[in-house]
Amino acid sequence: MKQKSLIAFLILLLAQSCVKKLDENPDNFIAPTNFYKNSADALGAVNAVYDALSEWGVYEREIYLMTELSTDNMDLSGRNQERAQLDDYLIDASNNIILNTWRNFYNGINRANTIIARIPEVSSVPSALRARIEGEGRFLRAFYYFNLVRLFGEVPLITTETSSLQGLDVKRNSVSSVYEQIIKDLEFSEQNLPLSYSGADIGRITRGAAKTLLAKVYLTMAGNPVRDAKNYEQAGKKAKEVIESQQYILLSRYEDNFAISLKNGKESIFEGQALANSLGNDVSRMYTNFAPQQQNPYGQRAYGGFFPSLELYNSYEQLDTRKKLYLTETYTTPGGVKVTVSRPHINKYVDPAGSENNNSNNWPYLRYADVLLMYAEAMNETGNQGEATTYVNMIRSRAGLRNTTASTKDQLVDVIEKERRLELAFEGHRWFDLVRTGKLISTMIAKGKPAIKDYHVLYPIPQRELDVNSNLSQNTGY
Amino acid sequence: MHFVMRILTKLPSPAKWLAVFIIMHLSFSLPAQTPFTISGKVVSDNGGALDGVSIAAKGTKEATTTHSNGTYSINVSNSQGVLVFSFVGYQPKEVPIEGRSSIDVSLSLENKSLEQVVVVGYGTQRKRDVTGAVASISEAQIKQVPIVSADQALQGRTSGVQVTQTSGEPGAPISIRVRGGNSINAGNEPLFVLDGYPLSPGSSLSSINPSDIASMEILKDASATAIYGSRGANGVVLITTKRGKLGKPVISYEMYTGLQHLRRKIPLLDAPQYAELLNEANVNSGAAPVFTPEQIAGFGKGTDWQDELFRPAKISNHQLSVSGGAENVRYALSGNYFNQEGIVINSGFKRYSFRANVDITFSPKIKVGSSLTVSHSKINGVETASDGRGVINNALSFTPIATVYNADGSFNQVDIPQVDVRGNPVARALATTDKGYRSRLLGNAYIDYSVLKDLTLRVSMGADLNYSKNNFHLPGTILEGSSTRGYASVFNDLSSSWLNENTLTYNKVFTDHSLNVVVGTSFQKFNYENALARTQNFSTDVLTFNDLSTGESPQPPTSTSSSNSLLSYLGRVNYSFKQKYLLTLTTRVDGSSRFGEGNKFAVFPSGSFGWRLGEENFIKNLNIFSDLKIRVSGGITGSQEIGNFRSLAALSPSRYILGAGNNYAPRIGFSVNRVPNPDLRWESTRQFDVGLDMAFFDNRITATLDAYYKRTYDLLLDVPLPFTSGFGTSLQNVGTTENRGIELSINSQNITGAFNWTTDFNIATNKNKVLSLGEVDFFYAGTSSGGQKYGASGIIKVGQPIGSFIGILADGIFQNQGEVNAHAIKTSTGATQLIQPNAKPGDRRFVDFNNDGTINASDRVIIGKAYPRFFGGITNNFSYKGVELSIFLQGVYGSSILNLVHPELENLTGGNNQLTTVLNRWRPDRPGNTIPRAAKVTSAPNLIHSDMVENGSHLRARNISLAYNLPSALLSKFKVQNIRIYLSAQNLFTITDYSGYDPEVNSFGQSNLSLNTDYGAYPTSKMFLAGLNIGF
Repeated sequence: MKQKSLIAFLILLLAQSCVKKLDENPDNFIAPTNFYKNSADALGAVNAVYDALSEWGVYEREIYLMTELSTDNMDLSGRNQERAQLDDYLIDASNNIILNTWRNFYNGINRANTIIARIPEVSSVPSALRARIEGEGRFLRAFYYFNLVRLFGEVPLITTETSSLQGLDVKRNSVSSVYEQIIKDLEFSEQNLPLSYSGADIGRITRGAAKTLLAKVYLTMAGNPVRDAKNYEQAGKKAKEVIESQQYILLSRYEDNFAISLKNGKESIFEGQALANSLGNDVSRMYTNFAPQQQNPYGQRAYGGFFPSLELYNSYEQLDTRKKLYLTETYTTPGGVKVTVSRPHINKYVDPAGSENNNSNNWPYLRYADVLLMYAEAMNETGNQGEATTYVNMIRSRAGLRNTTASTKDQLVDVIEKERRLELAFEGHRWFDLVRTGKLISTMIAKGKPAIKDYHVLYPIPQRELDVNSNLSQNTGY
Repeated sequence: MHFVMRILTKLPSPAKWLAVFIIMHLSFSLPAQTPFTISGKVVSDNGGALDGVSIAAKGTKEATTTHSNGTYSINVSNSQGVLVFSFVGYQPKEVPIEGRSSIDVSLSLENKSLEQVVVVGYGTQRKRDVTGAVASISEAQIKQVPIVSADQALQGRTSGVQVTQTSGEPGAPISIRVRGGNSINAGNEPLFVLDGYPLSPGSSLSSINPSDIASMEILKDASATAIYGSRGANGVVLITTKRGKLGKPVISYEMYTGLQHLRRKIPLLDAPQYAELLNEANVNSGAAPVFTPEQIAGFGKGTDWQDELFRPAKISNHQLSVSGGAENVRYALSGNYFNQEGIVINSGFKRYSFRANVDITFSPKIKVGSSLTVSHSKINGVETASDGRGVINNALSFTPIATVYNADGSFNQVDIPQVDVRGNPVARALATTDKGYRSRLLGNAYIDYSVLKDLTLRVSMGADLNYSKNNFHLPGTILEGSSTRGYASVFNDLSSSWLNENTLTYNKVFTDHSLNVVVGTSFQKFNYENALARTQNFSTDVLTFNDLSTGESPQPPTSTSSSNSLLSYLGRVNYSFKQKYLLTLTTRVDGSSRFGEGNKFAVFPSGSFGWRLGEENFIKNLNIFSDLKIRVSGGITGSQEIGNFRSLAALSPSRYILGAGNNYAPRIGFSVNRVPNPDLRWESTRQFDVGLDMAFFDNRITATLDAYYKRTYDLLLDVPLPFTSGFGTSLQNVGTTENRGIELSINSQNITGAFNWTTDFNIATNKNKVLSLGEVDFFYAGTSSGGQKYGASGIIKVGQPIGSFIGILADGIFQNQGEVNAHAIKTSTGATQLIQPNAKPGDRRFVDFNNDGTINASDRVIIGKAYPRFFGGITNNFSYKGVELSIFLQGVYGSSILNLVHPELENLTGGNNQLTTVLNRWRPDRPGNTIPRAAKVTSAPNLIHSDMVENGSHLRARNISLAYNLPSALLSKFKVQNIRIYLSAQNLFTITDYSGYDPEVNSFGQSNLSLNTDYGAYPTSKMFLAGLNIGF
């Protein structure tokens, strides 16, 4: 009897003695230890750093909310609370637009840190490709930090991959140390990236993009808040290198820069890519957000959420061909209704074949026209008014305008600034330009936004980040 | 003769009666003793005469029954013998004659609840011996309310079990909280165990036929649930299906059929009222009116979109079952067809199911059996998504000016200036295809082997196979399909689990001691696979989802596959001494594949003690209790309800577009999606429970009172990480919550006899509190979603309950510009700063809670709490002869509902239709303090405010039914055992202040972070049924 019960008990235990059953066999994902092994993996890893441009809808919405809506370029329709905060300079640190932007850039930075640390170690990848991929990663890291340091000032500078839960409560680093890293990364990129790409690689970061961004970084460092005027010379030098690279031209028609069929063209240096009918973040939504809500010219569902300010629209000279990129004329909807819009709409990003939140318009981050204007500005600031005039006139003549009559440095400052505004409107430059030239506060008071204060040249560190990381401090004023 | 009797008492009962019969026929040969007559009266405890009580002299064939006045007379041969009085429903009584010629007797009601056997995990127990908090629901209670799935039967029946029918969509899942919600991010739904087979979380109970259920037990405290260890913390519901009993086949047919209606219509503006509002909004915003008085006069009443979207819907159920048993085989077979149309057009649920439960005795030592369910369900869905664009929202908001169809018969899509563009809800419901099919095979087989007289080995094997397919098509011709120009998808999903359990049960009764020991092992493996194929941009909608290749823009197909497993060792000892002192010790050791290396195994122990005080003389002498038991229990249970692989880092795919021309296409990227957390382990709940089981007045009133305290620690919490890390959250074991509460249930037999009245009542209160969240004090949680972009709807905060709604405080209406100007603060420079500078008279005033001179998210405070203060139910059953009336009420008190539909229906922009309450909107000539003025653009901040939170308290007539059982005298002529016909009404009335369709709602289903949120959920219906049960 005892034997019998013993046997029964043994059956019981033996039946389930195999503890191996509890090992996790992840068959639907790749573990980091099984990745970063070959060229395909390396390309996949760097593609994800690009993808961070478009996650959370940052490049095709948050960027213009923080750099266009908050300036004299754009007006808001409707009363979306968080957008209205940016419009009116009643900015709250818990604003999710600001949080999304912050989150998005650091997401990209961590992905970039991962490949910068790992890809150089993958010996099976040809060394040229390794250097290129690292260069792409370093450019994107610099690009993300450049946005962060301009929007938030002192930000945590993290250059290593997050791989454990320890040590995540980081401190803010000085603005100069962030810029130091940005320049270091971009200098690596300009040495290791190709002048251009072909085939399936078109759209990746080029040497010209790295030089352009460097020019922009130096130009920014010459203005507020760093205010180191000797950077003008560096900015001019880098812009000149881009001009002399023979890679880029000014397109004869301004509007061709934004035509879907001509994307990544000869004037384009770096664009955020979008393709309708692909998955979530790979489409853009500018057209849906800007186009008239009712009686849309293409019968699409749109929101009409943002308008150009009338002051901006009226700043264009009568003959300025860039005015075509505002919807003002009477048009006929597919339903046959004749419509006259009551005020101009932004018409830079038009996608007649798209549909609601499903557009193919690219976002122009860096454009050759910007390089020419940066060069003109750098020349003007370094005493070469002749060169400055020549280059600003290139932009004016493409727009169908006569040469400028300005000749003094101060006159040219205003001409170049105005030309930047008109040429690059709704491309995410205005707020940065106003801040670095010290004109944000006066401009916004003139626009009728009395709530703006001196501290608004920086956005607040997102409240959520302060809540979870006691080592962070808030920008003054917030 | 005494010797014979002694042998007889040892025989099994059928044999005993056979022997008695034989002996009685033999006994006439024995010498006859002097006849002796005894007479008297038999009454029940409460003094009522009992008719038909059988009286027998023990050990003889001498027997009689009482008359209608309770009197009897019996001739006995032995004046020193014993009379046995027995009557159905009463405790039998033996009275020694002792030579008396007159004996009056009173009989006590049988205490069914104490003798009742309840199912506990891995065994059964007499209710009187249970030391944990266990509640039962009987077959009769389950059958009273027609339900799609078994979990609905829990509603209002058991104290401490809060059931919320979050959606009225047929077949939709419901939300259950046993003793409150423990967990913030992990699951909170109880574990369901069907005939011993633990179902995987989220497993649909609607594929199980509720008519097959014999009983349901709800295990509430740690003593009862610890045997399910890591899955026990949210309570356990044991479902037992019917099995065959010895006897000739019982064939029964049960059916009901009925109609469902929308419970109430929400009062909305008609076309002229709407047009006038739109005009007024325009005028108030400095624009011209949209409609002329002539146009308005021509609108008529306009379209009533609720009438267009809702319909009276049929429901019917047919069930044929056979059960019975011969000496070695017992069986219960049933087939069921259930069809419920939804009250929203083009929605419904159908189920075909079959069950076979068989038990076979091979030899005295070996018994085998199986339970098998096969079912197939069809779900016809309709879009009621919580994004505010579902058909319910659109039916409420759509302008009444518009007609449903254009003159050519196509669906009307409104493009009227100033009117919001919204999807035509009728078009959405009718033109969309959303068909789901779910096939399920759930089987479990066991073999019992008696190793020794007292020792049984059970080995069981089972499988639960679920295959489902969902076909979806959204045509490009309706608004919702316009952005994709038609979208179609086919989704396949295969989920299965496999179970092997082996238990040894030892049962032994020594004189004063009785012992029951269970030890066992269990292994369950869960597999999940799915695939989604999708295409958009269709040039024709004719093929719907049937040929995805006809779409011009195929979307990336997706597929996933994952599995997890659970390896367990379990043991339980039940010991009782003198049937008075009861002890239960339980332990389960669970190993889960989901956790980090070194944290896979955890021990979940519990212990409980029961003292049957009612058996003690000092309690008996009080003459208060007919029974009394005190129970004390404590233990630890766990939760592992998180996704798989969460302790490991993984690479997830993303896309970025590169290339040119035809080669301009998404390129795949890979990036790390989580920070690894090798320390990830179980979420644990410590629970302490004290309970009293009481019975009064000879068990006519029984009551159970429980008080408990639960503390859940090592919460599986999505801890926010600084975004500077590149990640948003990390699943960590951080934080503590508590739930404390009191539960009372009372069952009373108010009147017994020919007219019978019983009452079952239960009530419970539970207080939930967050005790710690690790490094942070609070975080915002919960979605309000949709186009409104209100942000988080709630806050999880230390010291506050889960389900706290957050918003700014509305403070009436500005009556004039003076009030707008007075709503200001003095800044540090002494200047006056208006708090709402853009406000106009007639706009809402809000409280600047932090006194910073502006209204924004920083002014939000807690404005409501989702979990109720009390909830419970009461059932009254009346019967007289064959007529039965049952009234079942169920209620919730002190809960809040966040009504996100309401602000849209009172936004006064004229862009969409409104509630009739806006007829009292503020106007200079008609000031009021609740509804603001009409305006195209409001000055109100885009935040949730206190007027959006409503009182969710309600009392509802869940079921009222009237039944008639045909008299058996009549039936026997037709060889029919029983016929029962009944009429019943569900949700006949609901008393509530809630302004939405139904206070029982959650657009976010079972979510614990977005509770009680109404954003166009499918409303519940009012139902009238007629039913028929026949047994042969």
